[in-house]
Amino acid sequence: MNKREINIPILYNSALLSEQIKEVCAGLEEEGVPFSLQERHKTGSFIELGAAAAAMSPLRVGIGIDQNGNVCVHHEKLKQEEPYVQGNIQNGRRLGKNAARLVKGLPLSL
Amino acid sequence: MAAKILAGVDIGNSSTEVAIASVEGDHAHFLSQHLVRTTGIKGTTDNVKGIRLALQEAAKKAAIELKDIDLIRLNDAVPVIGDLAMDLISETIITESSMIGHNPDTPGGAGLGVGTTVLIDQLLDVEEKERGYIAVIPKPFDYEWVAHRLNQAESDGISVTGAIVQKDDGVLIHNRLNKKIPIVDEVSLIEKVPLLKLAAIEVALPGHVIRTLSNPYGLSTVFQLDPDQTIQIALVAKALVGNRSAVVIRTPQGEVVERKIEAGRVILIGSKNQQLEVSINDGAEAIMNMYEKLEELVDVQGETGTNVGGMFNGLRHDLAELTGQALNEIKISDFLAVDAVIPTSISGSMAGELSMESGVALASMVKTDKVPVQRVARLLEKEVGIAVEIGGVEAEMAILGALTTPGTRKPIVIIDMGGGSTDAAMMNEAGKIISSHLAGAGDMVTMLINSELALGDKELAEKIKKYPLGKVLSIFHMQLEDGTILFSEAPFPPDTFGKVVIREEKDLTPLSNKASMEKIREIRRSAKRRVFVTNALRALKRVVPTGNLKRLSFVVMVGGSALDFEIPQMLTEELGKYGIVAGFANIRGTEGPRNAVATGLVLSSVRQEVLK
Repeated sequence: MNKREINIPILYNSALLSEQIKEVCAGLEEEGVPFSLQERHKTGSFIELGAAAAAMSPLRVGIGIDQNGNVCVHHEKLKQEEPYVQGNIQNGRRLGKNAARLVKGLPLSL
Repeated sequence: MAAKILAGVDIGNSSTEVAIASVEGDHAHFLSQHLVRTTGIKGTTDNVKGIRLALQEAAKKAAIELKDIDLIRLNDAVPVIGDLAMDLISETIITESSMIGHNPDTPGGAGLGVGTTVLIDQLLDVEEKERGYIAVIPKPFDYEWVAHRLNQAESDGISVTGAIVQKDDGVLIHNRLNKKIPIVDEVSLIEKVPLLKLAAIEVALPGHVIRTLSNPYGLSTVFQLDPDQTIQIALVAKALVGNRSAVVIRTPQGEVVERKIEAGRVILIGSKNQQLEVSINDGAEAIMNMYEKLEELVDVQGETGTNVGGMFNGLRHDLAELTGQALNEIKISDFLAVDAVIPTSISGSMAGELSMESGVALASMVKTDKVPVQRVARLLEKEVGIAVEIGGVEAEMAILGALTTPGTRKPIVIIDMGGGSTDAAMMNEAGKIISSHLAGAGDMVTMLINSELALGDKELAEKIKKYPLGKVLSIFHMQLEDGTILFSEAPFPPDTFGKVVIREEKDLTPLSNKASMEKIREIRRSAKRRVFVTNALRALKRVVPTGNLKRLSFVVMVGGSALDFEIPQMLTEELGKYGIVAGFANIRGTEGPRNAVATGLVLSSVRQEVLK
């Protein structure tokens, strides 16, 4: 049996440039929490992507990013339509950090 | 004989309380009560607005019209007014910027590095390559570029021993380095870091604190200092104790001075020309002990030209303004000194460090000529068209009210814990009353909390004083002060996540303070103890004949601070040591510690009628 890798999945729309997602990843890395990037081709809202990421996340926290750069940090135990934190890719660093801090139990920077 | 409707009105420093009762013969039947904020300063005609509102609301609750009230009885407010002050007695000053000591959540690497400070974009141009350099990295530089630069420097043979970063990039840079170095990040005022100066940087592993830069001999070793220089730098070491990361930069003029402020002496003036002096540097306890030796306090002065002189002058000035008396007529009739910790920003700090300096907080009060309650009564009478009379002495009214608490009897002592003052009164079996007014109460607790947590926000401090804390551990769990865990079906809001929160009745107020829940709780409780336990004992010694507390049996707490969720228990515990039954009142068996004076005002008139 494969041991599941511990990380925060980031589901993002394939229309996005990897350059745009880099800051989200940097936020997670600075906090020392591993992540995995996964492209999604079909159009789904960032909230649906986030919920899907959280559902598959071994850490119960996932990130969804849609083609317009809307980002959400979602948690498996929350209602699908109510992600914990929302924002724009322009604040990618902070959103990535917050996802990591949600796992670590540290105060978020909002 | 027809029933008369009576209203008792108690104007306090912070709240105005009303009790309405229907009185028939010697029997009073209480109909309703209400509480509003006191409008204006107690005893001034501004109070009428608040009284009117309180009466209207109480009348509404009693299902009567305001005009149905036959008589309003007003308390003869205690003619004392208090004020607060607080100041340092020591201060650490760094005359040249020479240290950073703070706790970023995620610094990079670990260990100690010594080298010359140099800007990152000038790193590759340095001449003496082996000397050891500490890179200074301001905001505009991207972490990838920085890491690339640092790696290049390393391959060029330039020895880089550490980095100081403005952004929160410590781990990101560290992860990309070939040769690992300690990195201190989130240094907000990086432009203040002197360049081309010898510096030492230290980062501890997670969960540890730095050991070299917080040790004077560690600093003397790193910077090769002689004994005199070591004495000078010892203050820097002291300021860095307990940090996870730090930078110390030697600037030629870099000099740290612990300025012992000329804190001055307190001069206590007693009756019969008695005069005692005590240095404020000896701390609050020594001052209060000296105060006890005095038979009767006539006035207090601070040595002119010193901090304490300034404090007492400020108080006098405030009090003169409040009471409308001339400055030289203001005589301080009581004061309470309490040791306090005052966070002071270290001059020349680069990351907003605070150093906790010792100070003294003072509450003081003056007797005013006489609070012009008559004027309030006349205006109230004119405005509402109901007869207004001034009832008896406030202490007597409060005791009459307090005696409605089930399980009490004379002799009894009440401690009225308000916002501005702590008042005590004792009634013996014969009904004789002795009372005393002490400086220091709820507002002083708020001031201490505000200062010791470095909040700079009085309203927030007030909330911390009033409500218990919790710590949000996860989206659905919160730890409470007693260690139990509360589960919530609705997720806690993101702004509270991972934070210590104030648990108000409905809302959670998150604190941005980094202090732990235990620390905040301890500061809160200690502030309450320093003010109220000290004052309760002081008050009791004054009103109990011979000052022997063991002869007391019933102590009843009333007033706003008796509503506090922990102050009454503290006093119950403390006074229990003397075998005293102490607890907060339950006026009329229903009102808790509120409404004592208003209730007493109604009851005192009933007794009068009986006497007739």
